[in-house]
Amino acid sequence: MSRSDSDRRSIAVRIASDGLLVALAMIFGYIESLLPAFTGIPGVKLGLANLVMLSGLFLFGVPEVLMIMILRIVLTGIMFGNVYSIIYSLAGGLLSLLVMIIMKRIKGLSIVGVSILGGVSHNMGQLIAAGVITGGISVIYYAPVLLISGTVCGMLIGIVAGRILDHLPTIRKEG
Amino acid sequence: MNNHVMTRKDIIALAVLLVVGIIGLAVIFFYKGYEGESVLVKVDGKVYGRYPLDVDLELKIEDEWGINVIEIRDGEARVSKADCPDKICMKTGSISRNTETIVCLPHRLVVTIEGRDDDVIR
Ligand SMILES: [Zn+2]
Repeated sequence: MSRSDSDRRSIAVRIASDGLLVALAMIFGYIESLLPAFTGIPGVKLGLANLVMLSGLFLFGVPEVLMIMILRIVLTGIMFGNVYSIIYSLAGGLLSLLVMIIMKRIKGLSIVGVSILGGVSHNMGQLIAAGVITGGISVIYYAPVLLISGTVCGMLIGIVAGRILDHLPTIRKEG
Repeated sequence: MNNHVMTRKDIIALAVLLVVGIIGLAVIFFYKGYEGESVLVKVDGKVYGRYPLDVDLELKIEDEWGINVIEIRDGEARVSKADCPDKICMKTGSISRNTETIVCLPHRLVVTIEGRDDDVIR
């Protein structure tokens, strides 16, 4: 295979796999929205879509994960939500991704630790957005619950993502 | 590499966050330990109205974002009807204690229980 052939092939593989990941993250997000809101507290959720973001961060790289995340949020917002839900999701998603990128560079934190801090910052980002949208600090009373739920859910998601990475053959390396 | 083994730092992060969260919960629990006196309704960050918790009332708020019906009955407030997509405001249920809050994000609505002398926290 000539060089340009393999370049073209790898670009096609990338586009196809990125599309798959966006779709997968959207499906996870959708499944999660079908689960009953078991707490009645805005923002308490498992973060299934973050499973894709987290694995992607460890498998691929920042630009790709950022693109996948923005696509997922905007497409989900257009299909099931509105401008407000897009802003709300972006606030959580971007803060969480930023924190996970920084935490990934810290030695001694595994994917579980990265996921925990990502989950917490996701919830805090949404809480800040909620404060801005409702124009008040009353939402601060949700902070402890969101902190705990972000920690616990982040840990679960991190453990699952770790297992996935352990068992996944390195798909990209051969490309 | 074993990706699913938690490291020391992971566990420290987990423990610190959980402890901070539990302390926060405890603070709120003790702080809101007493019955509230009035219901503060805010829409889009502006005060819509304040209503005594001991007077039964059905309040319909209809604005550019949608409809919410707030019901005050037997010293408790709840959102009894809403046309928001997530219905989280309705699922939150009844609130009656100081600082308890119902939020309807899609409609930019915040319903908070106020105590007697808690002007400081606002
Ligand atoms: Zn609502």
